[in-house]
Amino acid sequence: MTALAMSNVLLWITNIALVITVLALARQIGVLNERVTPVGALTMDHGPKVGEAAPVFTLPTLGGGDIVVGAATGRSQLLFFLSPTCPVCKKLLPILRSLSQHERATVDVVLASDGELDEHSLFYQREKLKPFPYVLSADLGMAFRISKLPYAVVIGPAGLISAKGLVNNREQIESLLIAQEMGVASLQEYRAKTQKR
Amino acid sequence: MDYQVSLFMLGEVARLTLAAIFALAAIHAMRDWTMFDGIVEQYRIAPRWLAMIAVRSLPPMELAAAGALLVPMMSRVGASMGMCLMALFTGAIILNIARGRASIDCGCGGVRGQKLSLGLVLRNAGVMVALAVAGTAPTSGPIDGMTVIGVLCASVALIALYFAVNQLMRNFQQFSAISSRSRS
Repeated sequence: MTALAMSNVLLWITNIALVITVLALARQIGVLNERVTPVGALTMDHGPKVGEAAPVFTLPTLGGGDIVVGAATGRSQLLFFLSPTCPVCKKLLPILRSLSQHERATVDVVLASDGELDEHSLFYQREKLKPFPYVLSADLGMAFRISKLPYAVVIGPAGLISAKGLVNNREQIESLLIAQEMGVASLQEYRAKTQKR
Repeated sequence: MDYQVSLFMLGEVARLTLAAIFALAAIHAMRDWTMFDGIVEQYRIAPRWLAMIAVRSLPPMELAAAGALLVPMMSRVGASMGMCLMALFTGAIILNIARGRASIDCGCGGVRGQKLSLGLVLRNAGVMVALAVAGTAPTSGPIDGMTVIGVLCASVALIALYFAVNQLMRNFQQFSAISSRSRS
């Protein structure tokens, strides 16, 4: 092997090692970024506050019949705001299904959205959402000031909002239910409380 | 160095790199159909039935393009297929940026949550230039130790570089999101 060929091989080895190092660093930064952002469901300071009475709505469901949202029924309600065109919402549907099975004794899961009835009934059939009450109401979304999806609101048995926030995964939905059990509004509030002590 | 040999090596590098990129994108989409379905749908460029067909046919087409690029006799077909796919993806991205819907998930293979941006359009333009090279460069040439080492190493380096660039673009979006949040 000539010196030129040898130097070529050595250059390739270092070149590939360097590119892989850059890729690994970029990935680590990406992972770190996701860890830095709050792990619990993010609450945004809009709409009725946690602890206040939830606005009460009586709405028709896509499956037929009416449902009362936000009233003191003695059971908790998990209002899940979604849209047929949001990929993360779709991904959370199986999680909601298992969650509603698991928490059946105390929590009712209600899906909420707004928009064209046709689009939603198609979505309702395609995703087999019969087990859930599915309501369409722009007023409901306005009342809770929903600006980003998927958004979840937990209403306690007495009709008071006990937790709410933007949810992107199973842990965040569960964090809302745990927040309700612990009596804190969100993980951020919990951390703020514990840090003060 | 012979001009034809350089072109041959360049073509081989382009073909290997593009085949890997297309194959990895296809595998990524096929591993999570539900997510891919949602991603195609939110681009909002086709009625539901057409989008359903697209969801099922795009990943196999990407795989087919990747396979064809690797076969010397079919590399031109593979490059043309890849070009059509890239034109379709880039068109969809430009259309949605123009509509002001840049905040949707790009669904670009490998990185989750990457939003639409001009950087993506530039990246796709780069991929299309590589496709043009892959389709036009000679498919036969001398195969000796040095060409093999050069072609293989350059391809591995370029594939890793492509994913590094994707990840860095995603990181950049996250950083700008964080800095705008802390400013407000």
